[in-house]
Amino acid sequence: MIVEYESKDTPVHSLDPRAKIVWLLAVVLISVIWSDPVYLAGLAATVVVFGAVAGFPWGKLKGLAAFLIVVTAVITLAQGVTYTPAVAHLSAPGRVLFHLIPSWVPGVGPALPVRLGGFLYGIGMTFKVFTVLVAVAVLGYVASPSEIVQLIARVPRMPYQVGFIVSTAWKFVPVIQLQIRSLMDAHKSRGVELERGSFTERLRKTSRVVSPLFANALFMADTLALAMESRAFGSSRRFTFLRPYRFKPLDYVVTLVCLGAAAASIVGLAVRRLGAL
Amino acid sequence: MGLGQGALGLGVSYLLAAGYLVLMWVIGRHLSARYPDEHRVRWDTRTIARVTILAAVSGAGAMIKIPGPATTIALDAAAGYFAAVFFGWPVGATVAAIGCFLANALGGFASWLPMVPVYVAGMALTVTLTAFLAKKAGVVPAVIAGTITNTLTCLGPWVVMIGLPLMIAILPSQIIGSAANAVIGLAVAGVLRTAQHRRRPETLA
Amino acid sequence: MHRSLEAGLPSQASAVDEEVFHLADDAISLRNVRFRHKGSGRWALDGVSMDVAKGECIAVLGPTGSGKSTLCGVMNGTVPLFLEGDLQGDVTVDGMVPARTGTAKMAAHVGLVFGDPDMQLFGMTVEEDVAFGPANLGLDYHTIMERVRKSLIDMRLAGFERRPPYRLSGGEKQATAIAGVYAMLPDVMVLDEPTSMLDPQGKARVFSIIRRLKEDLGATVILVEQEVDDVLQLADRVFVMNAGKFIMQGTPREVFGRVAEVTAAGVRVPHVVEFGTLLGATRVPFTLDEAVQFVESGAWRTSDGTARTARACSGGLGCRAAGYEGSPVSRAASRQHEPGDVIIEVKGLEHRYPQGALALRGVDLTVTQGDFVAIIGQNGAGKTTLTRHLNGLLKPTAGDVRVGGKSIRDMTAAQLSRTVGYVFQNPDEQLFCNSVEEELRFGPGNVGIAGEKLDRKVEEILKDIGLARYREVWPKYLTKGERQRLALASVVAMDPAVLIVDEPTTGLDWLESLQIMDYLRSLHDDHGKTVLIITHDMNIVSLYARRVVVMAGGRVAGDGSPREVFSNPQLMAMANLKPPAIAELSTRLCGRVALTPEEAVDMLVQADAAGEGLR
Repeated sequence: MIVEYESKDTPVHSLDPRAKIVWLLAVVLISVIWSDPVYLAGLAATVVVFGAVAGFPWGKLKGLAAFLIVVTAVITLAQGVTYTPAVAHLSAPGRVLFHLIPSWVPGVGPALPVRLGGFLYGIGMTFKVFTVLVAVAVLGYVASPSEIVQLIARVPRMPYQVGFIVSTAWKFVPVIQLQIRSLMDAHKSRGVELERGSFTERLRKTSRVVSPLFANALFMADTLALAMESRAFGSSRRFTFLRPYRFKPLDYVVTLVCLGAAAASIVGLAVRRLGAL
Repeated sequence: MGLGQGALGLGVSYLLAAGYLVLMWVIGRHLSARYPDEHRVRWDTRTIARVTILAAVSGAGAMIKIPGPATTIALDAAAGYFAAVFFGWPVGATVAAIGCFLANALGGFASWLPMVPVYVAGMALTVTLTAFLAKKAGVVPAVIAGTITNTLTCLGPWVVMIGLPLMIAILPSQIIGSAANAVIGLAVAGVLRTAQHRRRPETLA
Repeated sequence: MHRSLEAGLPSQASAVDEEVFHLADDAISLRNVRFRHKGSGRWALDGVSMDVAKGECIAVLGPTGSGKSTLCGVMNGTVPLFLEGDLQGDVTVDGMVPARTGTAKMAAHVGLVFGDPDMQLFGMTVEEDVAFGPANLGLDYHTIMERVRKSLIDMRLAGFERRPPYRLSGGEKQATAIAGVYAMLPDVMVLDEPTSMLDPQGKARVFSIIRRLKEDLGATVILVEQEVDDVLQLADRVFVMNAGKFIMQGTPREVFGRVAEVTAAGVRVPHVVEFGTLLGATRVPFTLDEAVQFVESGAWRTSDGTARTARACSGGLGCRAAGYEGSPVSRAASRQHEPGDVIIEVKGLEHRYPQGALALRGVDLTVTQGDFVAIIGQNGAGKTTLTRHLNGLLKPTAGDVRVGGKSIRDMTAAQLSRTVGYVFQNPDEQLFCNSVEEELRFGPGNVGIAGEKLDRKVEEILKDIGLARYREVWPKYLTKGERQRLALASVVAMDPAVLIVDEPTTGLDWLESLQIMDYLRSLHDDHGKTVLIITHDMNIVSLYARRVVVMAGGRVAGDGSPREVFSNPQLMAMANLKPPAIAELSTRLCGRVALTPEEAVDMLVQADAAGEGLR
């Protein structure tokens, strides 16, 4: 996760985990349904407010910002050039805003016209990507990993083993990362220049690092299985460690608002094309 | 011209993902029937532990970055290929699916959360098909097939949604990344299988 | 035990009652048990019998591969249900036959804990981890939480509930693993080398838990350990295993009264015990106080007043033990070379990790060619951070490191690998190849050493580390001790002038520790290598090091010979370290530090003869 969970005393943190996940799913759903950049900007604003109430550390998204600027530029320009949706309420969606290859380029210019409809659609799409990304980061910040495991365990018909694998694997990632680092250090200490050589050479060197990693994984799995057996794994068909959560008034409010907003966005789009470009 | 990154485009992508799973199931059933020793799996504690550790390797593998010709390559799929040929397709597909989910989650779902189910299904199909070809035609065709399937299943839905041109820009790095993961996954499986069959110290008294 | 909570047990747990044999009050009864792994011709257990009464604490000692872990597995059914093979004889634990009852159901009766804490933790938080076992038993939420609470209090982990396991220290992790097993309310706790991967603080924490299990909580404890000193204080009875058999058994006093036999079985004898035996004690001392009392009693003097020392191979470190093919350890520390040229020079070294922690706060250190240095200090003192600069894996934040006169700032680890060899703590993270021989050729190949010279070198090393006949074997199939030696040898093959070895003996048994340290010593004495080791084991320091660098809080807190360092109680206390028991004993008796039991006896006899009297 980009931003790690922090245990804090905010109204958002203290929400029932089910309410938190309903919020995320509603944001995702609405972001998929809408394509008008104005509407999507409004949705993004609600996510920012939600995050702000939770005291979300926005500074930590700095690394992501650079990535997003590139994505935004690429998507808007590429969409502007290639995509002209059947825009309903724009008078001239095909109007050319500018050319990617301007007229002063001899021989080819002007070429690759960026059109209004596509350009706006591109902006809407970056909002889609952007909003969901931030929403996921906010969820990761306000919901502890154990709350997420508790949610997975509550999914009807989901085998309890799946939840176990996901959460235990999640827990093992740092252990394996340390091991990868050690293996790389050990290679350097035996005279391997990991950062040098052609691509195929690097591929070969990397597979030398990966090979003992996988071998260790096989042995680790056996030890892990022994530990699981010793703790009666598989003895009961269901996992009974379900924390008894109870909805508080605020949880009802958040859940109903989210569900209502999602339903309204669907109906609005279907009936009056609200949110569509 | 694509269907857009909205409900329609995403709906079609999910249909495609369902198709991947059906195809995986068909290929997998055939493998299990023909090669029960290698491709029929008992879901006991040991198998679950293996899936767990290898899925973690997948998640952590996203951290290994090889600077490639087009972009840097992350080794987040190699464990799935490895598991499919080493422990059978059901283990491989599960490792690939959960590993793909973990790698995405660790990256903060930077490649659009609603598409994650599609990637997950695509990876599961890819490693199953790779295991199938490794059995039927050998390692090289398996790597080629794995690379193509991985590329198609990942990019295909995007082509449906936003059209071909943008995807052509991503194509080279996607192909190189898929190929590197397939090569390393299968190579390591081969290396470890040979190593495992070396004589044990106690037989060398 | 735990009557108040037993109501929560599922009813299936008693469905196996028909299998109850109930041999009086026995918690465990093994009759002529044999076990052979699938596909192996060797009996890992070869006719083992033992009866353990409820509430007893049994220690099982013996070298690696003697069958101790298999014995543990038999008790909870993982042998033969999980580790398959041929099991013969009768096994009854808590009135059940584990192989018939099944591992999952046995888990509520027998708790098994082993060495690697990372592999035994499942939860996102300590609380959830401890809840994992009870939840697997199908208990309801409130019963689970009640057990978790009790278990955390009993294992002294209250306040840790919400902490994620990966942020805990090794000792805390292992305590959590024990709490997780204990929360299933087993009557028998089987602990298979629970402290083997821990630092001294972690070991102390786990031993205090075991003491509590035994003394306050009334559990039956089976403890497999290498830390003999602690076992002596804890165990009611001791079993010594070798080659799948119990070759000695009895109270600690009975067993350790026969020092020569214990040594021959490959078990380390605590220095205080050896000291007592050398002085001919009939009732060997176990603690410093007992040793002092014994000396003060004068029972070690013969009628004519001279010392009655049992010099003829008492079975101490100098004796050859079964299965140990190396040369006997000589009592003198590594040979002193003429002080050579300066090879490593560290000046004002500071290091700050990207996360912000300042790990080194101005380290100055000079190492001359031919030194044998032990770097000691608590976890977090900066030992590893320092040594990682010496081969270029880390770069200074401030200050400089010079190796052979050249600054490491512009050199990669790969370039430095020809001068400085670095051996990491875990052999599994530095063995990459498919066979022992390939492993030795890998490093030299990278730096362009090849041809006949390399062939000769490889042969020589294979012989030195005793792995010549395993040259074709996959290193993963070797024992931990063999892998550790191979990891060291794979670096030695590159012929660096300096060898840095991070915790060479952690997780090894006593014989394996001696083997790798003797190999290091021979590299130092015979090949003139400069050796730096990082270690927590003060016995190793006193036996092998010529020079000790004490680190604390990111600085060098002390530097001198082992004798100087161990004679400085302020320094040791400041660095939170404990000198070896024999050094403490000799200081109490004669006011001077001895590094071996023999030396302590010599000191005592001389002081006595000179009529100086005892302090």
